[in-house]
Amino acid sequence: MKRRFGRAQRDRDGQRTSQETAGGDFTAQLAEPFGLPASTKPSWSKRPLPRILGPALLSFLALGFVVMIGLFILFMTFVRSLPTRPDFTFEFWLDLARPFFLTVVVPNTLILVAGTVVVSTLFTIPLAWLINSTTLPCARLFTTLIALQIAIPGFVTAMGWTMLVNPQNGVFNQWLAGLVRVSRVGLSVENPLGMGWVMGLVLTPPFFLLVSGPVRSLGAGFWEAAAAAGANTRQRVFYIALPLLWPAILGGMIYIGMTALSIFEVPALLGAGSGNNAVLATEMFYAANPSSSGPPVYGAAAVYGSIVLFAGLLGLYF
Amino acid sequence: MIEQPSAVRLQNVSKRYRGSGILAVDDLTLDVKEGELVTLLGPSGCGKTTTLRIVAGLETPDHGDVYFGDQAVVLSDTRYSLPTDRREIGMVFQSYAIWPHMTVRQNVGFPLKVRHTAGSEVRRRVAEALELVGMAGTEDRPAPMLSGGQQQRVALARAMVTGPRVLLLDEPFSNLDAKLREQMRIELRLLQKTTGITVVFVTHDQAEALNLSDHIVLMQHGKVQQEGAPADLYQRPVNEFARDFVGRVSLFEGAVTAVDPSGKICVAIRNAPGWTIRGRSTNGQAFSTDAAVQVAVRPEDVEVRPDEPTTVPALSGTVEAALFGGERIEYRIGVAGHGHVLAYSSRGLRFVEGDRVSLTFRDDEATVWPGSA
Repeated sequence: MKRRFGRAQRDRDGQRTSQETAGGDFTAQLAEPFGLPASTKPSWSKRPLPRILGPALLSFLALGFVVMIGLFILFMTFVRSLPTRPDFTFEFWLDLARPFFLTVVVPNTLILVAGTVVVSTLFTIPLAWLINSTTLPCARLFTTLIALQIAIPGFVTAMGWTMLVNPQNGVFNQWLAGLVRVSRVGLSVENPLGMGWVMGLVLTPPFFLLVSGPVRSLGAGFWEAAAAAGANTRQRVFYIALPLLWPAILGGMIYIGMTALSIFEVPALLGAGSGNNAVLATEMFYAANPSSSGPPVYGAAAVYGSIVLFAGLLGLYF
Repeated sequence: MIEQPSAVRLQNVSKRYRGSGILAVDDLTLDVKEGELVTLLGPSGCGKTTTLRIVAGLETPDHGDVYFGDQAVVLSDTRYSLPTDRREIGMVFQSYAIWPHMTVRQNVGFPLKVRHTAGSEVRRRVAEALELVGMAGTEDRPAPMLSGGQQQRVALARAMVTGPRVLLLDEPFSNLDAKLREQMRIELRLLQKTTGITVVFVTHDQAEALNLSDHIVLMQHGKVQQEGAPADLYQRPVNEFARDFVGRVSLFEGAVTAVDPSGKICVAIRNAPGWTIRGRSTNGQAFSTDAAVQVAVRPEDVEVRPDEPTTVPALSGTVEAALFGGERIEYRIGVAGHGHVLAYSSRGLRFVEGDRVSLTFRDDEATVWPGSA
């Protein structure tokens, strides 16, 4: 196991100097998520105005764009056709009360998001621990392969899973049917749970990259100290590792949840495109790009977009 | 004298790291007696930390057995290794590994909590442990609010709160400043004497090892080079590595002129006509007359005087560097034909760089080693 603790200061001869806080640097980094005053960053208020002016202007500009886009989407929810032809209406918000939306879209979306978060978390946390905190052989190769998976478009992964487990002629289904000597195995990813499974796997690499840093920073020291203190593996996981990694894991889960809410391609390929398994992202896309000959309904798309936006803001806030 | 029973015993332990292929510990046998403070001393990469981690169960040896008292904790032949959490040890890491999401009380009380000790008992023993390390009253302080020295004490309290069979300390003072380090050495020594706990201490700092230990195990390349009481290692090194690593020496080339029956060896120093040093062999090696030898002299056995005519044969040299160290002055003196000589002197006698001085050596304290012809 390798340890990577905070670096002690060194003078020009490479000797350690002023080391009383050396052991505390890393502790201080970990303390920040717990709201403890461990940071030594310079206070912005003490910086001279010209030095903060540039970053402040850029920050406000970026913030301004984000707020403007948000407000524009909100505005569009009340416009019947185009923004240049204001014709205010509440019909798109009232449409949310449609039985199809409440009984199909909302439950499907919730199952998809929850499934994605659960699947990616269950794969990511053990993977991140194995690769970053143990002496697993070929750890670097695994990291490269995981990162490589990000380059594969989600719809390609979804197509792969369709070929593997579609009820009609999925390769895995046929193999399983032969194995258990039945005519047909009904395993499928073309349902909200299956979409959650595929999406969870698609989003495991970014989640892995998000938590790898904190897991690596945690290193073996805290874990070994707990073992030396007499804690068994379960106690080490629940009393030491999870509380220390919780801010990073929770942040990753929120990010994955928000991404699952807004990704269109995987649900579209796994049945939502044909009207089955509709979720919020596909409803939003088809409202703005209807497959039939009807005109785009930007207001409806904006309402769905606003829901994603509010959910994202809510997740980020908490 | 009754010999103390063993607290920790390593028998023919070897450990090679996969990947790097480095043989970190090479057929090591070690016996730590109960109530002793034993220091594993050596340069970086000598295998001392690996040895400590094998005792803790954080590394598994490739060969050899480890016993705590009569209980086997590692038996390589049967691939048996008692997990760390069941070895009843206390351990202080170089980084302290104080859990930042806990208060001082939670940190120190954690070993009791995982043993399902009652709450009132946890509070009492945490208070006792903190009292022992001089941290009473800090129970509710969050861990990130502690200084390095306080973290070190909390780590020590946490390691001792359960009354472990053996306390393992992995360079616990290396992150402290010099003053605090010195203070902590004294406190650890007092604590160990008070509690009678068996301590295995790892350090690369020979001064720390000499100060603290009942017994020092000097290691290099995974092997024990010498072990014994601090004074033994310092005064009677058995090989060149022990001689050079523990303390400092100046070396002179010469030839044996006489060996007396008591073992004292007279050596005529090369390039210094008429000048001899009387020394001794510390590893039992016999020398014959005219044998080429090296003579090692400790700085405290060198006397520095103003370079004035004297009846006592002395080496002349020039002060190259004079380092004021408070209680003494450390000199590096250039001697023609011999490189430089290290010497300590009291504050009363001060020379500056460039001064001519003469050097004499305390008889019988020098050690004699085989030299090149």
